[in-house]
Amino acid sequence: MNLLLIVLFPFFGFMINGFMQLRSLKTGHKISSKQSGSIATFAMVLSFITAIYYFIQFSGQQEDGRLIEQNLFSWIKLGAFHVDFSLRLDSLSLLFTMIITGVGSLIHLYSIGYMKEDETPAKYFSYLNLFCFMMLNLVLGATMPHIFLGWEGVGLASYLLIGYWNQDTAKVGAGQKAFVMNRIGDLGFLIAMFIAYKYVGSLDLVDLQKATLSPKIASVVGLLVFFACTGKSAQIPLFTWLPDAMAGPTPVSALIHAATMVTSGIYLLTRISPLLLQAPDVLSVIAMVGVTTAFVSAVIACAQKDIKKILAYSTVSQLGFMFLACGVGAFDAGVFHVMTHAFFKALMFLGAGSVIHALHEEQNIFKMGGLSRKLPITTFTFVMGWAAILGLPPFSGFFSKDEIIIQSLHSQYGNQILFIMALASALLTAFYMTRLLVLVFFSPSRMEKETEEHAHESPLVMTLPLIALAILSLVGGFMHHSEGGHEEGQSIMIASVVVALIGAAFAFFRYRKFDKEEMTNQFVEKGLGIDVFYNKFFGNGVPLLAKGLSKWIEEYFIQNSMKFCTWMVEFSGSVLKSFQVGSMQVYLLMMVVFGLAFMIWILESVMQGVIFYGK
Amino acid sequence: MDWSFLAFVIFATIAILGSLMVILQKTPVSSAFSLVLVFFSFAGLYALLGAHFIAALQILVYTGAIMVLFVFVIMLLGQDEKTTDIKDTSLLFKGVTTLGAIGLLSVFLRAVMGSKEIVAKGQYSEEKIKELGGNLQAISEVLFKDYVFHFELVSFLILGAIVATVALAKRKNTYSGEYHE
Amino acid sequence: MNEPWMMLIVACTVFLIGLMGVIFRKNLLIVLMSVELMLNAVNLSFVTFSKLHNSLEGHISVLFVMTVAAAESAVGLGLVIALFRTLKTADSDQIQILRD
Repeated sequence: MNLLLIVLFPFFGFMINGFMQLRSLKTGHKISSKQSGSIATFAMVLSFITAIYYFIQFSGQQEDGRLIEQNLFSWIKLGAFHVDFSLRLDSLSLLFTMIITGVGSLIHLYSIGYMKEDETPAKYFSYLNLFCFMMLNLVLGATMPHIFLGWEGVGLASYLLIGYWNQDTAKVGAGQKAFVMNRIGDLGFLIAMFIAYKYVGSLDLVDLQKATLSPKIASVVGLLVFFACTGKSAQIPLFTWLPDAMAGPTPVSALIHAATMVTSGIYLLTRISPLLLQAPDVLSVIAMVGVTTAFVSAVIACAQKDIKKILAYSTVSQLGFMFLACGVGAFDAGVFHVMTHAFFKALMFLGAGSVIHALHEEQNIFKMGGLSRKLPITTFTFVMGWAAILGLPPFSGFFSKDEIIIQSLHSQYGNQILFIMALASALLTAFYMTRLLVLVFFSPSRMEKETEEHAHESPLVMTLPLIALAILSLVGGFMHHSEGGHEEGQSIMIASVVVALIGAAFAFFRYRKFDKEEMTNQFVEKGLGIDVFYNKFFGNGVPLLAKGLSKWIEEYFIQNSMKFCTWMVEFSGSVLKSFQVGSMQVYLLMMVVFGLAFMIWILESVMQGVIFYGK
Repeated sequence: MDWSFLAFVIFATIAILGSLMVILQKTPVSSAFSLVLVFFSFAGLYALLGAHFIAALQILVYTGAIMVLFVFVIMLLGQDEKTTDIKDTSLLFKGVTTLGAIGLLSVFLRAVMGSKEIVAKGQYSEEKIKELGGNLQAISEVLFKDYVFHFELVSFLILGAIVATVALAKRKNTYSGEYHE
Repeated sequence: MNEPWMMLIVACTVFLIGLMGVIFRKNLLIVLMSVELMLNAVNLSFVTFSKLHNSLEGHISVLFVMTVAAAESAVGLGLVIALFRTLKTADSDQIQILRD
């Protein structure tokens, strides 16, 4: 078995689908989503099987033996600077690889049904495979540049897929927004990489983990990496792209913007956790930002009407929980939550996709209702996801989320503020998720007649992944051996479940009989005006700055320096031209004058005995 | 008064005045005839220096061959009208030239002063030359013993010059018409 | 002849006069004559130094210089003829084909 296989299967899928798409562009031959989708899904399943092979191999080994490294080739070699292109598999990367390939396979399968009506499914599936290829590079890369390669690659794939329906300008704009926001964060990644190389002397992750840096440098590197993560993982201040990213097809939202790509920030922080532990200040910043994001986006989610937007803000909120876990030093809990979240959030996105599919692209939850009878499987699985995100025992979310809440109080870096904010976010989460559930599936129908009649359960190819993910959401929590169990832990567990139930009950009674559109607070619905602020501040500020620069710097400095340059050339040209008179006599005269100078020099040398006769 | 010194003064005066006339004459023919004077006086100076063979060569080659060539070309081109080309040079040009000439002169004078320090180290003193049987004998010995290779090289140069001259002379009006006024 | 420096001064003077002729005169024939003057002046200094050093190398140099001068004037005059044939002038100021 070769580690490269995991990465290569999606790559081949990408190539095959890509060429098929190019060929169909040429010949006009239409490719069905079944053809291209089965190729892509098959590639992902093969990759998943490879990952399982390694999982079995690892489970038979001791903790310190779980490491496979494979050096493929020397990538960059510049003097002393040397980066290998090598893959490294350990427990953390294996977990992420399993999530990516496993959940990825299910979502690929689901996409076959979802993209049935699409014009260019080969393009879609090639992008999806490209994404998986890049994401696997991200988690398997052994060096920072390799991770950066994957980091940029998933950004590209995300951009391509958000703007997949590129006839719609708004969707293309959403893709661009995601891309630009990510670039802002990537700047932090790059600078962190440069600083780390300067002080550690290597970009290999093992060296970075072993390195001991001064608290100052560790803080700077940690902060910059965290800034990069806020871009990729949609945290304050760069989280506004994720709700807009819902413009893409729903399976894409499930895979990229819920299960895998947005969690790469957690992966990166966990990877460099030894560095972060050297800088406690950065940890507290991460925890604060995480919990604030969790709370703020939960508030915004309560005022949304679009089913996918609610899920998007919910994702941001859950990512905030994960960052909170990282920030209190409980990286294990964060990664655990990544896994369970991947299951139940992918499940809910796919369920939402199923609903949207059934209602012909209707996304407003106030134009749904009473779907439980029409879509029984979807409803059932969605309820499982709902229970998981609320943290009801014994669903997976219960284990991971409560672990985080416990750690936010009891960990070395935890405190009451974090705990209370986390609990409040959990309450809000319960509220808005129940609101969504009740409004979509259980309240009286507010649909138009025609839509209602056409609503039907999705085909097997779409419900199968739903069922699989529902089972995973149910049992996913038992994959982790939590040592928990102490007195205070149990009381907190009970508290958080009670809080979730309160939120759920409140929402249930409020929306049970709802039959009109809710008047939500416009300010909250539009994301607390953060987008408006960015637009006002950067959207107007940057052009203003540019205008100023173009007026002052360009007009006076650059233009004049250009003029000076041309003047210099003209002037020296005119000076030199005066020598070229075309008269033989003048040339001769110049020859005499310069010959004279040369002769004087020679004669001086001879007289001083420099040249011929040494004195 | 030493006869040889008198001869030197006469020859030197003729040489300098003659060369002045060469550059100041208005027609090329007068210049050419002044040049003949200069060549003759130079031959005299060589003779005064004891370089009898060079003196003979001077008359043969320069006065005999080169001057004939010049006069022949002047005749061929019909260049007998007077020119006033010295007068239409600018003042700046004249000034720079004068400065250059003064500079050169000072450099030369310094070299001339340095010549007083020269110690005769060579083997061909006047006595030795007399012993060998004259200037010509001594030169031919040096020329055909030490410098025979260079002598042969120079013959190639002359061959090249002949070929070049023939090529130039044979060429018919290749540029005709293009640059006519 | 006990004062060779006087001979050298004559050589210098003739050389400078020749140089002036080359620089100031525009008639190519006179320019060539001035070049001959300069060459002769150099020859004179060669012979003088040869006497000063009791060596015959100067004489040999003069022989070579004479040969070169003969070749030079032959080719130079050939060029003047060729130029005169095409441009109908022997004035160096009129010869500016390459400049324009």
